[in-house]
Amino acid sequence: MFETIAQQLLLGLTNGMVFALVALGYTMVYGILEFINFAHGDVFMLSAFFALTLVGAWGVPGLDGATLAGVLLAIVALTTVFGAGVNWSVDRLVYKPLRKAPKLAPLVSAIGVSFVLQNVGLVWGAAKMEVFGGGGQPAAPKSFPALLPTTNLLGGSSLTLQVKDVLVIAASLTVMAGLYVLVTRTKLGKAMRATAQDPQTARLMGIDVDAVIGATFLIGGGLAGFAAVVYALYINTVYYQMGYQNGLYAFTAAVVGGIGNIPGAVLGGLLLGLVRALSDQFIGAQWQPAVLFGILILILVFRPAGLLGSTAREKV
Amino acid sequence: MTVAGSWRKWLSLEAGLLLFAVLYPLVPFVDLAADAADLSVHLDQRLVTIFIYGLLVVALNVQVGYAGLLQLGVAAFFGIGAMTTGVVTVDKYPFHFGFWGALLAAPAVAALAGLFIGAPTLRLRGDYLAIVTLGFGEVLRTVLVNLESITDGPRGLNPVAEVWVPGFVRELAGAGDDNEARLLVMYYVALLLLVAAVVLLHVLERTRIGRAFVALREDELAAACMGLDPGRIKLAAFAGGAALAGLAGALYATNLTTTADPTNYDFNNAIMVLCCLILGGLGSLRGALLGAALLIGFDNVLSPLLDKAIAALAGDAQHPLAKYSAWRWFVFGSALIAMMRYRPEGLFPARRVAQELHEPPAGSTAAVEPS
Amino acid sequence: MSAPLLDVRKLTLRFGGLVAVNSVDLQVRPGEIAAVIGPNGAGKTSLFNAITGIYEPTSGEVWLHGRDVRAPLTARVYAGWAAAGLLVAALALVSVANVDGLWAAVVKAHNPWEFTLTGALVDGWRYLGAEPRVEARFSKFSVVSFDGLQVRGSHADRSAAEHQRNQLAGQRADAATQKALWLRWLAALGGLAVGVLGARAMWYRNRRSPQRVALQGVARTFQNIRLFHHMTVIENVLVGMDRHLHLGSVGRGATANAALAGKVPRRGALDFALPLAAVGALTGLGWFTGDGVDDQGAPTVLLAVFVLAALAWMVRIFRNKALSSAGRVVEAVARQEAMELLRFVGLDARAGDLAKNLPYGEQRRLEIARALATRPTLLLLDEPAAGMNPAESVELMHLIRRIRDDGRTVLLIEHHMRVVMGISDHITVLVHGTPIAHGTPEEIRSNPKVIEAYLGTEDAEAHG
Repeated sequence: MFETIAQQLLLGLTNGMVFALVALGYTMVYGILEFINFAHGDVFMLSAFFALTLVGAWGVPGLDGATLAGVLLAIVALTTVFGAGVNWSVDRLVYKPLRKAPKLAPLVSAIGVSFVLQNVGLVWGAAKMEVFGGGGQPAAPKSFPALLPTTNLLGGSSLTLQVKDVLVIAASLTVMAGLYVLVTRTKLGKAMRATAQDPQTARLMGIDVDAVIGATFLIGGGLAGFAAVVYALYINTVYYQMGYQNGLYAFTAAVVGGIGNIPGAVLGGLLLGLVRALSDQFIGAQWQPAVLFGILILILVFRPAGLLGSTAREKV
Repeated sequence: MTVAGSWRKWLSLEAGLLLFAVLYPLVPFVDLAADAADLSVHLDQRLVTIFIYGLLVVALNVQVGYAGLLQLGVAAFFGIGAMTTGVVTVDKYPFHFGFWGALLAAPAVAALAGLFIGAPTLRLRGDYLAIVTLGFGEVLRTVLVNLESITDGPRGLNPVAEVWVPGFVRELAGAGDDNEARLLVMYYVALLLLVAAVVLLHVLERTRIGRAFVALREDELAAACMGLDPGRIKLAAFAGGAALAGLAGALYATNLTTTADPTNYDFNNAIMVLCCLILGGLGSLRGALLGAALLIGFDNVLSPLLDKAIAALAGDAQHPLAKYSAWRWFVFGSALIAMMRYRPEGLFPARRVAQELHEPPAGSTAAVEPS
Repeated sequence: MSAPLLDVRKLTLRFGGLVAVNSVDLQVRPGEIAAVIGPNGAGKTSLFNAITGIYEPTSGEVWLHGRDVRAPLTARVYAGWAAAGLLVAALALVSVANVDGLWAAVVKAHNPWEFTLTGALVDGWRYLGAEPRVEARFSKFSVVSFDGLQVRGSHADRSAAEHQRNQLAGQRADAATQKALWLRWLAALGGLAVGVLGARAMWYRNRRSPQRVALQGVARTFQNIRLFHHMTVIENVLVGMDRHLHLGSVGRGATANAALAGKVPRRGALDFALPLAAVGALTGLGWFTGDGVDDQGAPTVLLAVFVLAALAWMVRIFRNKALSSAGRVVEAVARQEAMELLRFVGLDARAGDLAKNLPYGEQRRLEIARALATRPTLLLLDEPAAGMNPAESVELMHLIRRIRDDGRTVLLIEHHMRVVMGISDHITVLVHGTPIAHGTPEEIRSNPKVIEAYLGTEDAEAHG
């Protein structure tokens, strides 16, 4: 019993890391624009497709040792850049012209972008590459090769802690720490926080609000791209609708932590990952959406501002 | 606005379409022409689908257009209506309400579900509702799949009670052709309910309730300071819209004679309905109807023809993407983006919503600053 | 001296570290014109927002008519929490007990033709209590364990099965049953707690709300005019009147009451009869056609009744352009009243214009008319003279006096000293959120503290 729980908690922790990385993208954009970027999950999905394409193009499954590590790092870096680029372009092309429009307009546009990107994923799935299963069935899930070492670090114990678990957790923590430093210690971070608090005043203080928004989309997209590689390497499946469900969970994580709050997104992501793992074990995986939705409702009833959100009156 | 002016406005397009819709089954000239051209269209069957979706779009319009609540789970209430119809009418359960009874039960259950979801969440920040309703839709789909002993899972409950056909219609349609008679009754029932809903809402727009909706959309805080209760008004709109969506669900299940696969009530469907509404014009009844006619008509009538034509061109070596349905979401998504960018008020806009969408109300951005 | 109409007691409002309003006591008596003045950033608008329920004060209370403006904690509120608790508890219990299993036990355990409501309730109760139960299986009646997994006996008739079931139910439950029972109790109690606490949390969050304060007879205008810009002038006023227009038989609004006094709307009965007939016919149809009654005669008549009643009702409401003739009467009276109010503030000529097209001064007067439409006892005006020229300010002073003479009490924030000194009975001076002086205009004018706080400010205003 204890071991089952410990094992599930470990699984939840790694899953939670991915949720947290995606949730950060939602929460940063919301913090500045008060807008739910529905397409964020699909940037995550497209990044996973991009990574899979690189894996196929470079013949990665055949490599090993130092070459493999180097190529993997290159894939991580390129996918991060890809995610950042996609997210940034979407903002420039679609959301930017709607900055002054009523709130409904960008929200509906984001839903539209989400569907377009999903369709792109579907079409991408038809690529005539071996890793895509020859492209005959665009909608079918593609398997992402298991490239990370799965050696159990706890050799004799019945618990498993694989090298890949440690890698995923360590890499995610590093990225989050980097983000934390960026937001709290750098000039850009200061500008972002100022813009989040009050865009008009920030503009008057000489902050280029537009550039800050662009940077936010870049960073959020980069995090989604990074999360996509981590997810693909860990779960080993990529499919065109993976952005929808993971995006929904990640957004829930952002709300649970307190939307607009960066540590909140991480906390919410980890919490949701843990709850999901435990509910899969003790209630049943088929009830996963119901359990997580129940938690969302509970949070909204008891702490509408989220766990770490400020309790400022939202009426005004 | 004078009565005559209002009538003249309605006489233009809608009256013509209504006349066509009423007379169509009696003079099946379109199908005859289509048969002659060797295209099996079955327009009457497809018109029933359009009526049902029209009702659904009108329901969503109550929530999104009138009350300004971005609701992404309308398909869930549609599904609740369909499933209620299944449970209260199928043979294997003891309820046997029949079609007409289901028409009463389905909206009631859907409205209760709306209250249950709306009560804890509607007072919160508006955009949370989008995610809550989206989540609710996802949960409903999984619940329908997982509660197999009630819903029969992916197979759906069937046979749902068929629409009841009075004797004279049976004779009218000709003996031995029960399907034809059923379709005829279904057609007129769906049309009648759609027209009833539209008339009711058309009047509602012009009463104090309609005025309260506009006030709430423009400046919720100012409206609250006038004594309007935003939470209660939104809840009423949410539950009312849910009831209408449930009614549409009841018709849908009856028309198919099964509650069908729960994926029929998922997010994609909700977005298609939202697309219809936005294409037609938020808050505008005629927009909602024509949006449904255009998009659902396109999806139901033209796209199968399109696919057939492409298949005929491609022959055996057909690429999996060489069909319209593989690009469907691309088309819908781009439509949403383009509409929001260039014509957020839709093709047939409501005057007020159009103004609101082109210049945000002062109250929505300027908060009450402490002085 | 009469009791205060508005009584603000030690009201403090903090935003993070900033104290916007610091322990303010303020009393406004019926029939007077009171004013709050102070330099910019003194916390005047924050005070208004706290009074009208927009901000939750950090501490202190607001009383109106001798009562706290917050919703009172009555027995009905407790009942509501209890109901929410029971609902969530039932939901949790049913989920833990397995909805599918409950359905199987309650509905599927009976042959469809034997189904009764009482039987279903008894079975449901037994299922939730993890007792063994009787199921109809093919042509036999089986006694099965609570989870339906073990068949304990099979009988040809129901009473024998019931007998065995009762015997089994009397025995001590086994470990699995015990565990299931514990889980169910836990879920029910947990659900109860979550439901009650959740309802309580939501109630406390909404205990003070602008609509609640408005319904207690307080109306206000806003410093940065918040009209419904895309509605016409008269529609703005009609929104203000909204709560006096409703037609409920119990709590009929004042305007509706006056409009319908002594007049039972002529054709009102049909408005109820037609939908009732339609729904009744529909129910009848459901009954006739549902259980396979193959009598074609009665259902056809009912169908005809349904269609005719529905059509007649639709035509009626469509032609009346209001839900009923009563609604139409009330709407007409309401428009007259709204026009009178517009005449009162001098905007009757612009009734049909969009609010956003009015010039600034007229928008301010429209805001006052909209506020008056709620029939307030206390009217809060937030800088009503801002942006007005001297002639308009004088007009405004007359208007405010006329409002007072109509029996309303006025509390205003104003920077134009001429307006404030000219019409106020009492003035409170706020500096950095703290009240420094209170008195008649003469007392304030000669108060050294006030002069110190205002030095230069009046000059600046005079030039601006």
